[in-house]
Amino acid sequence: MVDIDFSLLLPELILIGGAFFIIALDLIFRRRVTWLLLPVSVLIVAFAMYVAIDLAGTVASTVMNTFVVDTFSIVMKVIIMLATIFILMLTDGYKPLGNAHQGEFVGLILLASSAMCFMVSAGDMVMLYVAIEFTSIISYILVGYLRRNPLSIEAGIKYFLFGAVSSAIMLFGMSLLYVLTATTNLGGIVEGIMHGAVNPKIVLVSVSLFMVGLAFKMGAVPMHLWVPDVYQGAPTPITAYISVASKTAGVAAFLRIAFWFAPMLDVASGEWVNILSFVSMASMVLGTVIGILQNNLKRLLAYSAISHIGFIIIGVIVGQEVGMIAVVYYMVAYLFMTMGAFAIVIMVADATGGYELNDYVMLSKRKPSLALLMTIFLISLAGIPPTVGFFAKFYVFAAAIKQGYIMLAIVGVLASVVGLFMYARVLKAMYLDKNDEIMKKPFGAIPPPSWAVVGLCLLGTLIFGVYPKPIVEIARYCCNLFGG
Amino acid sequence: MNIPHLLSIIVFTPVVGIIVLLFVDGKKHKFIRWFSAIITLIVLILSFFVFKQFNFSESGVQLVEKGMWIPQFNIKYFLGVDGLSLPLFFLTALLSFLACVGSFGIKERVKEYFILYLLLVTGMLGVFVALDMVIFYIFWEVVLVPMYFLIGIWGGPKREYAAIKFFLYTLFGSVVMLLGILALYFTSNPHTFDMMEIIAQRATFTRNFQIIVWLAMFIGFAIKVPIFPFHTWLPDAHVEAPTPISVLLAGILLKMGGYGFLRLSFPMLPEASKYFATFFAILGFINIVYGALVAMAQKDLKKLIAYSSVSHMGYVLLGFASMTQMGYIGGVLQMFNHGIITGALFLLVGVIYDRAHTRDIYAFGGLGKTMPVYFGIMTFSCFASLGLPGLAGFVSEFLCLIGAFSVFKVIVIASASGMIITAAYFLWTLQRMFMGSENERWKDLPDMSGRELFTLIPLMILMLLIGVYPKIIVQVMKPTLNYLVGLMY
Repeated sequence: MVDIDFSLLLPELILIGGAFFIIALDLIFRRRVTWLLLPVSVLIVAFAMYVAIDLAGTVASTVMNTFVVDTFSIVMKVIIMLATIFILMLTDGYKPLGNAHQGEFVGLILLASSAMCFMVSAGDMVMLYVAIEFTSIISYILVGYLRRNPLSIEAGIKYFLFGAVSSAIMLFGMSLLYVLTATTNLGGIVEGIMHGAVNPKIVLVSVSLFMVGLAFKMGAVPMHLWVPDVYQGAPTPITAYISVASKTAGVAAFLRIAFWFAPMLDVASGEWVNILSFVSMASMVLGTVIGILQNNLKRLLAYSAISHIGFIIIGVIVGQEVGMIAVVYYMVAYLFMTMGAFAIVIMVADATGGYELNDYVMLSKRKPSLALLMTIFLISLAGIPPTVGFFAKFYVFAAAIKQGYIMLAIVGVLASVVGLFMYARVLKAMYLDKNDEIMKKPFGAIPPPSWAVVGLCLLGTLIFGVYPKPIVEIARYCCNLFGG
Repeated sequence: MNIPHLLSIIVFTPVVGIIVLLFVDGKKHKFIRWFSAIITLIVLILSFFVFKQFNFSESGVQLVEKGMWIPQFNIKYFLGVDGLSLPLFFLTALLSFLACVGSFGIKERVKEYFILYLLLVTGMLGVFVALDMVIFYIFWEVVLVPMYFLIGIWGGPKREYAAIKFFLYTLFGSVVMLLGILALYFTSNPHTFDMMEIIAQRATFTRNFQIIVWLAMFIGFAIKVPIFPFHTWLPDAHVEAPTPISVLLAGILLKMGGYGFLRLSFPMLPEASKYFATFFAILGFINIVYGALVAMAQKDLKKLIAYSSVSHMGYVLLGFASMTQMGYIGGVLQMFNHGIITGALFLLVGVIYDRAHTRDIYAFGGLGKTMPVYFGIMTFSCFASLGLPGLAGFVSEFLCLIGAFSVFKVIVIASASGMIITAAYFLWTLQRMFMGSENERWKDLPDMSGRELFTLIPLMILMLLIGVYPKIIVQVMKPTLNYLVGLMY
């Protein structure tokens, strides 16, 4: 009989239960309760978040060490759940979805969130694989949810094909590790490799293959090819969801494994660092340089997401406390600024019907508040103070310089400059470009929940931009209370 | 009466103004203009109080405000002024006010303009009083965003190109500088961003480390100054920017680079600075002569003055490179003088452009008759700029050259030729614009208005005052600069 400590699993269980509750509610009462679904689901996620925060401070594992709870996992889960709440609020104003099957849609989002939480806490290869597959399968459905929109279907299929291939590769890496150590437990693998005389090359190959699956989830080069198309085709709230929540889960699992495996990868000397450095630099450079050429906001933000992953991986490469602080801070910053930017993309698309740069022309005249907010989020994404994005980059560079990864820091700096150009194109459209035609087009109303999301993101972006102390403190707890 | 937290109050007064302006109806142009002018006037008046509370005989930082900001990284909120920063701080306050009055001519998108303008003022003020490198960097970056919009929205025909070029160029410089700052942080023991503590630890930095960090910071500051060959953003930005913004670009933003050298690079990395001193002096020489020669070739009046800035900043480099007391005083004084003189010249370009809608020097002629007051002020400012004894420019250029002569004889002699070229192009410009036969096209141009005179007269008074009695400003900076020179050996 496996001994299970359910109190540690409570947040995930609440989410799963909530998902089925929502779907049941929708099935039983049909149209009469549609208006109720979103508020109830927000409450469910908020409750799960509260329970998760309540677990803060514990370092424990359960279900035969396959499920790890520590401060790091809790912080990452809170980010994921906050993102979920924001997405649910934004869904309210997202017109293309209509009222059809809202129960399923919301239920699937809750299920995906619980899967991501499992991913964050996974301490075992099987658990990790199941969590990743669980997240992916729901994501495929959500991405292709707009059944009448060919772009959405294309995105869903593309996502599915890439996901299937990358998880097969990951499974191959996992099986190699299992052959070498006869265990699926991550901690056990490290021990087995350290004590057995294993060829470091084989370790390197198997870990690299293993990490491919996570690189896919994070959208890091070279597993980034799906990102722009899926971001463009998916319903925009889902794009934001994949961009923030799914990425956070991927980064969390990636960081955990990289930190745990660090001693056994040291055997392979600098090779592993070289591989990661390549992934990081390629992501930063490719994301920003190709991002410049994009005229579709969703695609632009997709390339921006690829470049941000490059910065985050620097923190993982550096490791130790500084690296951990850099990654945690970056994820918090990323939540607020990316979510804010996507919220505005949704608002503008709902009001004008387009995602192209042209739809943003003269936004400063048509809707000055939206233009100003977008400017703040973009400036934060570009890493300019006094916004949270600045400190995110600051800590990453600090970590790199401290451990002597000068090359990474220099490439990061150059990528930030190119990145600024990418974001400045949107600023230019909003403030500098002129088009008298567009002024005649009506600008639709904006639903209050969307304003609430943007307001919260703005607060996060500005407050933690001038007062980053609390986040750094939390990040340090993550490091001190890191399981394993 | 001592006002506590005076520096913070000054730096953040414009932010209060921004918050108020955000809630003002954008159509009330008159109110927005006057309100912004009053905010910058308050800043100016408060900066006089700084002088009152400042002890001129002390060399260290004063009016210190220090508090922990991010304890985990030992980042402090640390403001203070000394003899190096006070003149530049005052210059910022003065030019901000005058340029704000000069901005009354802005007709389009007035509210946005003044909000961005006030944000710019906060950034500039902050740079000169920040003594923690992170705060310094933040203020340094805060300047960029409003500048991008101010050039990009209200600029001339090629504004978008100029704005993004400025933005990318300076961002590149500042992020490289950030790497240098971080390297200093992790090498200092205990880790600190506090400039004073880093200076105290300067002896512990190895030579190779100093050279690498010096180069990183050099890129950041050299782009701002700008030092040849990093100057290419300057003509574009200066020419395309609206008049008041050109004033601030030339008057304040260029000083941020020079200030950075004297505040960070030189005292923190003395060995590297000595290693690069000759290189620095040669760059100064190139700036002086190259800037002057290119200025001479210009047809556009604004571009001419933009290149004259490149030339004048060369003297600052020469003065700093000498690492003598005289050279330092000359360099800082030259920065101050260049601020008021070039500020005035850009305002004057604005005056003629508003009337004639052209800046082509050859298009004019005989303006001396139609606009006698303008002619007088222009001549006065040009003479100050070309270094006529009795006016401000002469004193500082002279000090720079004298200070540097003891160290770099050949370079100084070669640089002195720049003064002749400068005299040539300014006199030639005056001749082309104001002498000769009267051009029928400009017969009805009105002379200067009261508002324009109001912005220029304070600057002229300062030019004359510093020209005949430089002690008034030199006494402020002398103890600090002596101390900074002492740090080099």
